[in-house]
Amino acid sequence: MTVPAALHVPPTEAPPTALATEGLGVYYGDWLAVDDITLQVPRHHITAFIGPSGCGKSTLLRCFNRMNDLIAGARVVGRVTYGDVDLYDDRIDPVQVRRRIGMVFQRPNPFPKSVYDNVAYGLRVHAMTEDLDDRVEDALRRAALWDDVKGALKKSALALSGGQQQRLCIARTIAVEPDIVLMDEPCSALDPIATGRIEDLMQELRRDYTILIVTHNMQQAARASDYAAFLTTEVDGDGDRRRGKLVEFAATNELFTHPQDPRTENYITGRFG
Amino acid sequence: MTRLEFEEELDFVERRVELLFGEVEHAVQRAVTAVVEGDEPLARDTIKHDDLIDELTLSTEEAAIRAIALQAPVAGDLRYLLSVMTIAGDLERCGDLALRVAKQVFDREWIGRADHLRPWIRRLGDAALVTLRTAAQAWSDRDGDAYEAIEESDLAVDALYADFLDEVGRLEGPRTGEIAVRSHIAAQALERIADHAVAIGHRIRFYVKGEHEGLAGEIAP
Repeated sequence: MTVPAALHVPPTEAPPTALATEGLGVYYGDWLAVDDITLQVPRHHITAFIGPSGCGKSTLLRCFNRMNDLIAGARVVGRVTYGDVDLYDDRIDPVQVRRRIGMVFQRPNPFPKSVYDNVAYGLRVHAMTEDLDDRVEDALRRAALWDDVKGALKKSALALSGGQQQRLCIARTIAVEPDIVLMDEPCSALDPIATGRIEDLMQELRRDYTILIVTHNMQQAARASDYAAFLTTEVDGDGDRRRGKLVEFAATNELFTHPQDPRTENYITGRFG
Repeated sequence: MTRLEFEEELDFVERRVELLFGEVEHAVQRAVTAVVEGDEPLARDTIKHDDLIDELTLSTEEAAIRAIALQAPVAGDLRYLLSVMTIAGDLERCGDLALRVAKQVFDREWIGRADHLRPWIRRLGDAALVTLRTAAQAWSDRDGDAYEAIEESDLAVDALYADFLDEVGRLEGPRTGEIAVRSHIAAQALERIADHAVAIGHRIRFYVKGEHEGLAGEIAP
């Protein structure tokens, strides 16, 4: 089924676009896992990707900083643009892409190093070592972690709580001054209090960054995002494989009060399947 | 609350709202007949019956609140429950207005002297019932466009009400003030019932189509 193009366009007076995709598809070998995604991600807003397991939302997220390059057999078709730049142009260095478009993962994954070295790591890789202490402190402050760790910068990051570790990973991501932060289910391993702090933090960060978040938690998408994209799985032509399709992309308030597509309605109200 | 339990709760709410529509229509019908025919026992019965409408309203709202609290509904479910909350309120108010009509029977002086005005109450009552029935049908049909038909039938009620006021203005003879006031209380209550039906029509529009318009100003001062 072809999704009407109008459903992919955010409502009128949409802010400038940070990232855009056009006919984006991702193959794993000969399997088309994500098909024909066209959308514009608004700058300095939080955009959530929701949908059932296997709908390709994490795969889609990974397209935005070329993380799929690291998966054997993965191949991207269509266009992903960041400003005027085609992210999949041969001349583009994926490492530079990942500095401008950072990523926070599902489980906090600090390096087995000190708190300080975790944040400084990316700065050193990218030779951003001038005023290193200040940069580390600034990143920790922005990630709302400074007050927790300022007396323990040399201690192991692994001694922090799960929520603190995830904020450390956010600090590590924003230390290298990205433009966009991708978050792949950043709260799924956290309790509700730590989740609330991350969500508050996202609201703060949105002033300086564009945030894209994949979440299984519909209430989190409703609470924390400005725009929401609903993806679903469709059975392939030969009937044995499923692929992810974008069904609807709208302001979160619209999507959760008056979705345009019955598939969105069925999913968000829990009638799915 | 699981989705299955939620569906059961929604069924419960739906049955309550249907009952409310029926009971309110019945109350308006009987209140008008009581006044037009000067039937005191019928009026008393109608007044007593209002307790049932209040009870139905409360239990509908309680079920809706429970569902909102435990299910955190979104999209159509959310619009449904929010609409139910306001529609139940409108219907409860219609019940109170019917009660106000019925109470006018107990002033025998007015009833005895207003033979020529009481048919106006019948006409207004019938017209108000048309708006109410159209709203009830729209609810049961999930008709998001029916608000236009309800508005149209409300215009007919407003026109009748204006004619009624002219008629009252021409009253002459003893106890004119009392007759005017009593008949006007009943007539205005019926006119208001039609306004509530219009509000219900717009709520149904919101529920079905997500259009949140036309709610301001439909209750005439």
